[in-house]
This record gives sequence, C-alpha cells and structure tokens, in this order.
Amino acid sequence: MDFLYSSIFFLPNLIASYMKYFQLNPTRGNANSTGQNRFFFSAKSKHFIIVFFLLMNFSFQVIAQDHQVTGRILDQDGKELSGSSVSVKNTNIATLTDSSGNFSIRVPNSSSVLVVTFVGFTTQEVPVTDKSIIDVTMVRDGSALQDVVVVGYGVQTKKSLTGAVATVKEEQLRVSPVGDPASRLQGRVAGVTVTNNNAPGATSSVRVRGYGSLGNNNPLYIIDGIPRTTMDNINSNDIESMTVLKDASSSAIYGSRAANGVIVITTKHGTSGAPVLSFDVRTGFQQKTNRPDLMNSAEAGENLWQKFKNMGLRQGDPGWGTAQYGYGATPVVPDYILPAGGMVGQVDESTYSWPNPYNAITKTNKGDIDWYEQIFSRAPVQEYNINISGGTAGKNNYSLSAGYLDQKGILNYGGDDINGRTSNGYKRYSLRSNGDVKVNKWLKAGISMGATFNNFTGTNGTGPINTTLTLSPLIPIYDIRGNFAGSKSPVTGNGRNAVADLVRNNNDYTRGLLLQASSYVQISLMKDLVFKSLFGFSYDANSSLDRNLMDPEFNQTQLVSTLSTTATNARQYNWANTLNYTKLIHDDHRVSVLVGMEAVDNYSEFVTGGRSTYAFTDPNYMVLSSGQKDVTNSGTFDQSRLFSYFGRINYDYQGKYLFEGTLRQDASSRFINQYQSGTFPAFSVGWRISQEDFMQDVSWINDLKLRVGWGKNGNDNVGNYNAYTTYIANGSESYYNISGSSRSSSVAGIHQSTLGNPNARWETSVANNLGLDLVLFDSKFETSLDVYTRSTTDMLYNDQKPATWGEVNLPNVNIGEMQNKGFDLNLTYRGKVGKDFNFSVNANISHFRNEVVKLNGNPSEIRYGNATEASFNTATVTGQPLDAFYGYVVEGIFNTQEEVNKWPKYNPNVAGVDVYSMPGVFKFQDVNGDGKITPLDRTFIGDGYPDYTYGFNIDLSYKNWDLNIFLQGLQGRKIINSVSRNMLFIRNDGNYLRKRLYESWTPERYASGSKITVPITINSDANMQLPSTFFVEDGDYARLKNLQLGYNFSPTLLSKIKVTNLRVYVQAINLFTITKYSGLDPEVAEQGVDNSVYPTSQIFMLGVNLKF
Amino acid sequence: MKKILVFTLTSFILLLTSCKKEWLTIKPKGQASFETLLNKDGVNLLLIGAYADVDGANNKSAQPQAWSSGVSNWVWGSVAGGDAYKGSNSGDQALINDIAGFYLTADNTYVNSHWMLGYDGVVRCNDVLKAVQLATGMTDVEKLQAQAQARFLRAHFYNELTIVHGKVPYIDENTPNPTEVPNDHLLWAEMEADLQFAITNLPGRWVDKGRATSWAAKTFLARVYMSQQKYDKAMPLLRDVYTNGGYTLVPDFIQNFLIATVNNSESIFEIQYAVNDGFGADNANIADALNSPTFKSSSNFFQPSHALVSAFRVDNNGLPLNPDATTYNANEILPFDPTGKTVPYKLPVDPRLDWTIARPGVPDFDWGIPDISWIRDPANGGPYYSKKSTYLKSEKNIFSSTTVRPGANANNFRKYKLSHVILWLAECETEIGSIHNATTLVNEIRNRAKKSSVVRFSNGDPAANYIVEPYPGDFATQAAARLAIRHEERLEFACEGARFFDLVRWGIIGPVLNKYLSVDGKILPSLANKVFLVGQHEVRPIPQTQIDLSKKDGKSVLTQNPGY
Repeated sequence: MDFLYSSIFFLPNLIASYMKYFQLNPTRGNANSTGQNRFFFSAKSKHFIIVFFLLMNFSFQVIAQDHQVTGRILDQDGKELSGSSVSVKNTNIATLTDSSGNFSIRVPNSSSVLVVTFVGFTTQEVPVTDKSIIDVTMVRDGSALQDVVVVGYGVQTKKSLTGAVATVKEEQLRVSPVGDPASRLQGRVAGVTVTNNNAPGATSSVRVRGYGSLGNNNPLYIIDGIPRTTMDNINSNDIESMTVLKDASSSAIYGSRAANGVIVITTKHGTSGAPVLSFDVRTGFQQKTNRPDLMNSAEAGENLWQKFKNMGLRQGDPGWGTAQYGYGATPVVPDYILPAGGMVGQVDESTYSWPNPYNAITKTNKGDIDWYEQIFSRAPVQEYNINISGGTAGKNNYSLSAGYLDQKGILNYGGDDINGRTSNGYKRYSLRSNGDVKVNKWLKAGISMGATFNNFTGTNGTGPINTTLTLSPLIPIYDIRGNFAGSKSPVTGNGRNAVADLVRNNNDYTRGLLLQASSYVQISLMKDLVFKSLFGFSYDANSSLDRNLMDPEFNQTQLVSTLSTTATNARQYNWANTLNYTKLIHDDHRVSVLVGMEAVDNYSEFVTGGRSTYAFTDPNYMVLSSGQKDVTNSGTFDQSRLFSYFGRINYDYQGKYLFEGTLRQDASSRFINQYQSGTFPAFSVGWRISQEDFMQDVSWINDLKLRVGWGKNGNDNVGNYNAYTTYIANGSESYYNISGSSRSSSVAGIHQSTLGNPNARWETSVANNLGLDLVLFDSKFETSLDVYTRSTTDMLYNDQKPATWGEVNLPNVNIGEMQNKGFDLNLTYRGKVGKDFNFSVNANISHFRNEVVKLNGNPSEIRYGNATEASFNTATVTGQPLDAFYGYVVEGIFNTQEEVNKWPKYNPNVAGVDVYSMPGVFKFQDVNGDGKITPLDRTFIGDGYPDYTYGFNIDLSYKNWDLNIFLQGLQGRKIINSVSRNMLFIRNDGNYLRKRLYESWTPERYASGSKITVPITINSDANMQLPSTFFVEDGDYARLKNLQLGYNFSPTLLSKIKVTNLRVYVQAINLFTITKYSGLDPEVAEQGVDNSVYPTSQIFMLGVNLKF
Repeated sequence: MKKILVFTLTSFILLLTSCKKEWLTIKPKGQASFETLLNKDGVNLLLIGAYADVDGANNKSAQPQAWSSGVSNWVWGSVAGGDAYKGSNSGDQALINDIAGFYLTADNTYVNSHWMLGYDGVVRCNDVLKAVQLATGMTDVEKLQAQAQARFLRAHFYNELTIVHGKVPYIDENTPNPTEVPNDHLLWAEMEADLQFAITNLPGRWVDKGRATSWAAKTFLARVYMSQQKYDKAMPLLRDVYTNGGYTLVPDFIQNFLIATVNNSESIFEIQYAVNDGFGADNANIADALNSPTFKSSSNFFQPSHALVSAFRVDNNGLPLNPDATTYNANEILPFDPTGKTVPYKLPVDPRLDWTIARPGVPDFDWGIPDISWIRDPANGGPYYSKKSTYLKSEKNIFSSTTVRPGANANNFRKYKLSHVILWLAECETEIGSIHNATTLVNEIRNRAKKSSVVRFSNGDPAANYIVEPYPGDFATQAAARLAIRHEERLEFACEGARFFDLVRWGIIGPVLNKYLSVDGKILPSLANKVFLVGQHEVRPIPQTQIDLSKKDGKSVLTQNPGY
C-alpha cells in the first residue's frame, strides 16, 4: 500500500518533469499530395529519447454517386432500436430510426460509411458499397465506455475521463430501499460512505473519501445545475443518474465547495420516440429487527436489593428498601404504584383524583406490558410513480412524472389496531417536468422543474425509544381510570410515558414545499462555439407545529399545554454562464475549452411563535391564536453569496492521451478583505494504453487506462458571518429583571455572542489521485482502482479557547492539517451461461485512513468532540484520526481486596486515600505510569472509521426471471455504545438491561466462577460511567440490504394488450445482519458513537413496473 | 434576434461583475457590532447583560450549568456544607454525590460548568468597562456609575470563582490574551479594589431595585475581608451599613423568603427574578427549579440533612440545645422514619425550622401537609425538603413557570440582607470588639425570630412545640460567643448556600464535616465512609478542560489545586 501512496506523490512530479523536458513543438510537415499532415513532439532532452511520433492519415475522395439506403437497426435479441442515430461519416447527413427501428438515408456515394450509434451499444461503422438495404445488429456495449458521464458544467464520454468519477444509473438506484436518495447510493460506489438514518423521511449522511474537514464534511450536490447542500426531498425515482466527482481534478470546477466531493444529480429527461408511459408501484411493510433485553418489574426490584447488599446495607438499615418494593428482606412487587407500594385491599380506589390534585390510582405493570413492543408496530409503506416521456428526434424531448410515497414509522403505538395507532410517518408528493427544445439552428432551450411537498407527522425521532429504555418497568401505560400513568408515582424515576408522548404528539407536523427550477438557453454563436446561460432557482418553505400537552403523570409535570409554530423559507438562485469551444483538429486533436462565471445567492428567514394555556386541546381548537398566555415570538433572516469564474481545457490526442486542466476562482461573502477570493487549480492526465499500437495484439484487453490527477479544492463552511464580532440581545441569556418591580417582566440586555475572525481564509484541500481502468475479456470483466491522498491545509475549525474568554461562540480559524489516504476498488464481471442465463457480479471495496497531521502547531493541543452528559467520548489530536475515541482503559474488574491493594490508586486525595477502588469495580489502567489513575490517564481507545466498507451486488437473470442480491457492510470499525451507559449504570430509578442483574459482579458470582460482564451494582458508579474501553465495541457488520426477485412478462404476450414491459417483483430489504455489536443497530452515527439510533427496519415489498 | 439575446445576457453579466465587491458584502443580521454599543444606550445594554449572569445560569451551556453555578450555591455551599443531601433518587445528577462525598475529580462537569459561568460574567463586566472608556454621550457621573456597577459585579463573579476553585486567573478589561493568564494568587486584592471603586461611585439607592448600591458594595467588601479573617477591616464597613444604611429587619422572619415580600426593608442586594416574562423560566431561579418535591412538579433535589434539622432543637428556654457542630451526634437526630412516614416530634424546636424546612406532618404553606408520598425517595434523601426558594400554591402559574421547569419561580435570592450585616458584625465584635455588643446583635436576630409568626395547622394550633428566646446575658467567653454566633448564622441562613464557605473561613470545616459525615453517613448510604480532608477539600479542582485549554508555548498556565 505504501508503494501506491508514494507513487501517487511521485507521479505528478514525474509528469511535471516530463513537461519540462518536452516542449510542444507543432511543426507542420510538408503536405504531400495525399493530404497527409504530420504533427510531432520533439524531445529536447538528451536524457530521454522517447519521441511521440504520431501519424494519422485521412484522405478525400470526392465521387458523386449518391443513392438511398434503407434498413433496420436491431439489438442482439432482435428488438428494434428506435431513435438510433444513423449518419454518414465525415458529413452532416444524419437521421434517426423510427419506432420500428427503420431508417432511410441518402448517401453521397458507394464509398460512404454509415455510422450507427445508440446509447449503451458499441458504435458501428458500415461501409455502404452498393447496397441499398442495410440492416445492422447492434452489440450492447458491456463496458459502457461510450456512456456519457455528467461532469461539472457538461458531459464527457466515460472513456475520455481522467478524474475519479463514478456514476450510478437509474437501474441501480431503483433496487435499493425506499427513502431518501442518499441511501440508494449506499454500497454502490467505492469511496462513498453512506450512513443510513432509518427514521421516516430522514436524511442519510454521505461522505466522499473520508473526512476532509473538522467542520462540515457534506459533499456538494448539483441537481440539474442547481447547487444544494443536501439532496433531501428529491424523489429518488426522478433521478436518472448520480455522478460522484471523487477527486479534486474532477471536482475542482466547483472550486470552493467541492472539497468534500461533488454529487451531480440529473433528473430524468425524455428520449426521442413515441410517448412512453411507465407506472411503478410498490407496497409493503416495515418491522423492527432487534430489541434490547430489559428487566421486568420483579427483576428491577431484585436489582435494587442486590445494590443494597453491595453497599453493605442490611434489612432495617436506613437506605434499605424503597417505597415501591417495600423495606423487607426481599423486594415485593406492589399491586399499586400510586399509592406507592399499595396492596390490594389497602387501596381505596375511590380516592382517585386527576389531574389536580393528582392522586391517579395506578396499578403496577407486573409484566403484562412490554413497553418496547408497545411503541413499535409493523408499518406500511407504499410508493407510486408515473412517468410519461418522449420526444422528437433532434427537436425536443420531454419527461413528466408524478410520485407519491407514504412511509409510516415503525415507531408507532397501536400495533395492528388501526384505530389506536399513532400517525407517525412521512409522506412525499412530487411532480417533475423536464423538457428541451431546439428552436432553430442556433438556439436551444430547456427547463427542468420539480416540486416536492413533504409531510412529517407525529414523532419521528428516537425520543420515545430512549424514554422506553429508561422507564421504570413498574409503570403501566394507563392508570385505573384510563389516564396515562407515569413517573409521578414515587421512586419510579424520571422517565416519560412513551405512549403518552407518541399519542400527544400525534398532531405535530413539519411540512415542506421544495420548488426547484432551472432553465437554460444555449446559443451556437459560431461553429464550435456555444454559449449557455443557466438560471436556477430553488425555494424551500417549511412550517411546523409542535404541541406540548399537559402531562400530569410526569414527575416534573408541565401544568399547561403549549403550542409553537415555526415557518422557515429559504431561497436560492444561481446564474451560470458558460462559453464552450470544441474543436476536432485533423481528427486527432480534440480540444475543448470551457470558460464561465457563476453567481449564487442564498437567503433564508424564519419566524416562530408560541403560546400556552389552552382551554381545549382539540387540535381543531388548539392553534396559535387560541392560546391565552406566554405569547412568544422570534425571527430573523440570513444571507450569503458566492461569485465565481472558472475555466476548463480538455485535450486529447487520438483518444489515447488525455489531458484536462481546470481553474476556478471563487469569492465568498463569508470571507472578507483580501481573503475573500480563493483560486483552485487542478489537472489530470490519462493514457489509454490499450489504444497504443503495441497493445493491438492483446485482444483480451478491451480497455486499459491510467489516470493521474492533482487538484485543489476549497471549503468555506464557516457560517455566514465568521468574520464579525457580534453582540446580541437574547431573552434567555442577557435579559434581567433590573427594576425588580414586577415578577414577570425583564429588561433587555446585550452580550457578546460571537468572536469574529476577519482573517479566516479558504480551507484548502489538495488531492492526488492515481487511477487505473481495465476492461477485459470482451468487456465481461471491468475494474477500476483509484488510490488517493487528500491533504487539507489551513483547516478551518471552530476555535477553542478557555472559558476566560467568556462563553462566546468562537469563530472558525485556519489551523491544522489533515490527511486522508485510501483506495477505491470496483470489480464487475458479466457473463452468460447458455442462452438464457445472464449474470453480473459487482464488488466494490473502499478504504481510507484519516489522520490529523497538525493542530495549531502545539503538540499537546487537544480538541474535544462528542460528549455524553459533558463527558467527552471523542477527541482530536495530532497523529490520530479526527474525533478518535478518548477515555480510560479498563483492564477488567477487581475481584479481591489484594488486587485492589496492588493496583495504582484512583484519584488519591492528599492523604493518599482512594475512595473508589474496591472489589467489583473497574480496574483502570495507569496509562501514563505515574502510579495513580487520574484524568491524565485518558487516552485514545479506537476510532469509528471502518478499515473497509464494501458492497457486493449480484444480478442474475434466467429467461423471464431476475434476481438481485445486494450485501453491504463494514469491516474493522469500533462503536462507542453510549446507550449502554444509560442501560447498565445507575441513572435513575428507571430500567436496565437484564445483564445488569444476571451478569454483574458479586462476591458470590465471582467465587462460583459465573459469567461476569458488568461491574458491581452500586450507587456511586459515576467513575465507571466515564468513557472507557468498556463501552467500545466491535462494530463490524454485513447486512443483506436487498433481495429482489422479479418476473418479466414476455413481450409477445404483452404486445397483445399494448404493453411494452411488465415486471412484477418481491423484495426484502435488510433481511439479515451479521454483527457482534450489542446495541440496537451497528449502522450508527458516522463517527461511531451510538447515542441511540432509530433502528433499521426490515422491509418486505411487492412491486410492479409497467410500461406502455 | 441572436445578437439581441447575446447582448442582453452579456450586459447582465458585466453589470453583475462590476458591482461584485458590494454584492459580496453581507453583514450579520439582528446583531450589533461593538462600535454600535459605544454610547449611553449601548453601555446600559451591556450592563444589563452583565447583571443577567448574576443568577448563575446563562442558558447557553448544556446542563448541568444551572444546577452547578446558580447563585444560591445549593450544591457547593449547602449540600457540600452538610446542610442538605443531594436528594432526588440516587442516579439523578450523580456527580453531586462526588462533590458531597469529597471524591470529585477534575473532570467532574459541575466543576467546569461553575467555572465557565463565572468567567462569562467576568467577561461581560469587562465588556462594559471597555465600552465605557470609548462611549460618547455619557456624563462623567453616568460613566462612573456604569463602571462601578460593572466592577461590583466582576467582584461578585471572582468571589464565586475564588471560594469554589481557590486561585483563579485574573482577567480584566486590559488583558490581551486570557488564554495565557496563570492562576498564581488569590484575587482578594483585585476584588477589594473593584469594591472600593464601587463604594465610592455608587449611589445609596436606585430606582431600579436590582442595581448594586454603595451599601451593597460595603456589605460585600466586608464579606470579602471576613473571608480573609480581616475582621478589623470588615467591622467599620458593617457598622456603617448597620447604622447609616437605612435598612430595617422585616418584622417576620418568613418575609425574607416569600415572593410577596421581595425587595423589602431588610434587603441590601437581591438577585431579581422574573418568570413567564416571554422567556419561560430562563430569567427565574432556574438553578433551584428542581429543588422542590415531585408534588410540586420538581425532582426533589436538595433535601435538608438530619444534621441541619437537628440543629434547630432548643431547650425549654428556647436556646440552642447543642450549638457545637463538632460534637453533633446520632442521639440529637430528630426522630424520623426511613420510609418517609410522619413521626411527630413534641420536644421544643426553633420556629425557624418549619419556615426553612418542610417536614412530614407539618404544613407547607397552602400546599397542605407533606406526607410520605411527597418525597421522591426517602431512602436516598431523607424525609425533608427545603422551602426557601419556593412559591405558594396560590402563586402557581403566576409566579411559577407555566411551561418547562414548573418548579422555577420568581422568588428573589436575597444575597445580602441586614440580618447578614448584623450577624457578621457580631462576629467582628466577638473577634476584635466587645462580647456585649456581639450578644446584643445576635439577640436582635433572635428577638425577631421570637416575634415572628410560626407554622400552624389549619385549626390555628402551632405545628410543633416552638420556642426561641434571646440569650439572657452576655456570652461568658469569646469562644462561647463564637459558637453561638456561628450557630445563629447556620439557623438564620440555613439552605442559603453559605454554610460550606462559612465553615472554611472559620477554620472549622474539617471537624464539623467529618462529624457530619460520620453521623449522617450511617443514615445516608451515599455519604457512608466519606471523609473531608483538611488541606485539600477546602477548594475544588481547577477544571481539567480549562487546564487543557489554557496554554502558553504548549504548556498549561494553570496549576491544579493540591490533591486533584
């Protein structure tokens, strides 16, 4: 591996030295009678005698013998290919096949050559000779080298690419689970790490080649020419392709915001031909896959009694017993928890009173209610999409689509009882229309418009899960009169009634409307020179309503109901103008030059208002205006702008030697003065070795290309006003009741809110990429390997200062360097067995290693990251990956006093006394060897970055059947199971995992050699809750993401009912997961800290694709 | 057509390009720059912003800031001082157990939160001082008064930092780089200078009741001197306030703790709260919001200790049964039931007990009579709860938060009262003046207690056997006077966050707390086997995070306190 890394650095230098030694010396040779031209490079160096001597012949023979040729274009299966382009080589004569694949063309003479092209098929050249009927059978281009790949501000053919670019097509995208488009990228592209968030409508996190920044690591999305920071709320079914620009040389055209990679999304456009109507339906259900092993009420009591014993208490001692389980030798599960510890016969149910005064007689949940089962249920999901597309060859095309997605959350109370079910879920309605029209010879225009309305209802976060995990098992859902029961019962913890929360939040919503439109005009100014002006506009309006209803059963009762509503809207426009010059000189030199400018303006605003005290909680009554008290409101607006110039040169010689150079200059409103502008150059070269003469005999190699790229990107993700020191008047932070004459009014004050950094400049990332593309064995086998390094300098990070600066928001400062090294490998094999069995196997694997190379130059600099209740789980220092796990090292549990005596003392006081260590507690390692355990012994205990992420995809088809198997996983990653901190250690009188009772240390269990996985149960276990290796778990997993079996009805049968295509399929998503991780789901937050997740659900679907 | 189109687009682009610089200049919204604050209004706004931190919670930080840094000091002063237990159930805010049991570490987040709030206050005061220097449109008097208030508040924040953390770095309006300032000395001299300036420049009264006055500055300065045992310097200041301040004791003891009688004649400096002011509970006593029983929608933190409750026992003459906390023993403990059941106590107690602390069977204002069901977990926190920072049932939703943190209310924290001045003056008289004067002063407080109302059942009967009487004659010895005055302060100011710091400045914290830990540790499992170590536990750690962050040339400039 090191060799590869070093070669990546070496190669650009090598090329640079070649550039120095060779001077482009275009000397026109003597034009001879046959019209031969000669270009050559001459080497000036005596050290190198390699001469690129390249020759190309072409001749003109003008013979006037024009005649008509007709024919049919078919594919290998004999299907007509409508819309194929048929042209006469070296002329402007061209036509397209009709819907039956027929064409008719006039050719100048019998020596003419017909060129037949069709996307996805190998271009064929057929000499006309004297034939008047020519039928051509097109061969599917397995390697897709001819594919057009979307790149920044344009397209390129795949074979001419020099950067690390990966494209995922609609066919691949559509097999993956419903939900956001990002999750469909998962496991598809080497080098792209997607971490799913499984809540309905939630967004997955996408990382391209690791972590380049301490701040924002999100890639830039370009959706039909509109730059965006997310791809939320885009209907995945409208996407034609997603192109990931992975390396700096390909993404640098987007300059400042491209440091984390660029994902270019193109939505579906029509193709020429008669209107095609397609209809896709899928419907199914989701269910939870995993559950924690929680104590029941009797076990929770036993656990308490175990704790009392461990603390050295005996029955009758103060501190022994609780109001619920009594004070006896053994815990007694009471019949009632309100009144506390009540028993049948002792409790007078007629004293019930609710809500005020609260005496809601409540019977104990003796185990008949499994809270975890209560909050989950099977949830239906359904999706419908319809699309009409078509066009007239060379004139116009259109695509119109509509979609509807309804995904209920599995976090839903009510189970199969439809009436009682809460309404948590996500609905998305989407419309899109795309069209292009060629007005005349020189003018072309197009528009792409999408509207998405999305609606989240109820609770779609992890709140109720966390609540349930820590809720005392004694608590039932309802009290004896059917009102919600809760922790108002004594000694039942701080937990909230999760069902009550789910039901009460039933009418909460967040609704959003996203409008996106981009339109362009394209003018051919002269031959080869095209001007394009694209104007994009997006408008994202959201409104949300949040009701908090009175919760009399909760120990910190909220006495009144409140409501708040928020409206936000964000709009953005971008205007990009480009001039594109393309010239093919003497058939050998293809030069393409792009220059352009772009302006982007972002504006957003919000208003929010709230009230409390509602006479009725009927959702029809309970609106903002009907609240009686606590009238609050706030709002502001926000803006940022970007102005850029950019240019790109592509040159290739005979399709063998490829060069691309890019330069972009961005000026951002986020930086001021001399730091406002940043310049981002990049270049890449490619060598298609397979095109060389010496390779022509190697018939088993279809394509071999070496790519080398270097480029700089920027990052301006510092917030809009990083440069400015500001003061704000904030009601909660700087108001004070200075007059003292009223108990309910405060006077405005102001305080420093942020410290500005006028000297912040662009974070710069320099990336090197070395790539190899190889296509073998008649394009059956295809592979590409990219090795890269990515160094971030002037890394912007949120400054860190001691509290003596006050609690101000600190600005981003340019400090430090970080490096990512990695490789992406993609392997595909397609094959055929017999006549009917086709298969395709794709594997992709990627690896990266992140390392912080420098932090402000101070070797002992430490930057803390994720925290659980203010104890840091992660930290960043030089020489470690970003946000590595940070904590104590647990070397086991003390079993005997002798062991304790021999071990270094834990935080000894000045008298040398250690009040922590005793048999049964964690044995912490004295990492720094100073003879005691102190905070200085915290160290780095792993990180959340996988060594490898992989995707494995198999497509099989046999006759009418097709099968897709898609497996995705991670290897070599750790997780901090921060949830188990709450579930194993004393937090409240809530609930715990059963192993706290059955596998915790006790002298007896130690003596008998029983399994011990958890330290002793004691009250003062705060030290053992500090982040340590105890919470670090193996987080590898392999998950069968998709298993899909489809059946295609035969075209002959379908043609009778005028249907072109009908496919029916069944699909299982997340059928199984192989993991050792003990938490709910190993697919946790990207940096490996599990602070609770919305667990991945299994989805079973039935779907139909129909085409007319 | 083509030409027109291209021409139009080109001119647009050129237009856009030409005004690029202006187009790219976007200023922050809804926020002011420092320059806009350099005038009378700006300085006043900054000053109010500094006052906003004096409650010890600025809401910006994550929990547990409010509980850890509230001006009431219930954690550091009362719980750690043996006046109260953490309360609630055992796992809730378990870090307080480490503080109360004297085994806290430098990465205990309470330590850091307390530090952070203190310095946020300091910086806000420094911002006022910076702005005043440059402000226009202010008279000299206005400038001096603004500076004086800022310096008073800065002394307040430094005092809070010093009594908890010991030596802390000194940051003022001229400090160029706070990151590099070491903690090499105690900041008493700096506080004294600020307070002297405040005394000179502040008026004796303001229209705004929340502003610091010269009398408040004198009282505070006296307290600073007393923290250093400089009774000679404290005495004239206290005498001045006592004689010339114009303050009088409120007739009824309980008026110092009711919302209806905030800013009364006894009050010298109060932290002003407001609730339901449009910002929920954020400007109320949020730090104390969870310190009421679950019955009042709180979490039942801060439960008075058996040691404190027992200290209210009196003999048949209404004099303290045992004023010496170093000889406190298990036999003195008021009878109680570990399950929280009501155990009536017929022997005499000081009536201030039942205004300060709620006991099962004794009415809690208009809330009713607390019983076993009001207490969250008597096995973890005992049967009592504090009454001093609460509100009446009749005030619910009016003076208490209607929304989140319903325990938060608008009951001002009386930081300095005339009663403080009287008892501190009595201390000074004992140390350097006359025992006779000291006795008279203590009796002034006891007589007020005697004349005050007592807690009664609804039928009008007193809820317990209440007696309190002044000391019949002058104290026999200086030692007896000390004992009596210190005991009087404990009772009069119980659960007001001063106990730990008083014990430290009196130099008796070791024996007192070790006695308390050994006796109450047998009742409260969380205190079992815990020890206060003299020479270490008087101050708390410098937060580990701050040590990590305060560096010069790669080395921390902050020195950790011994033993941490």
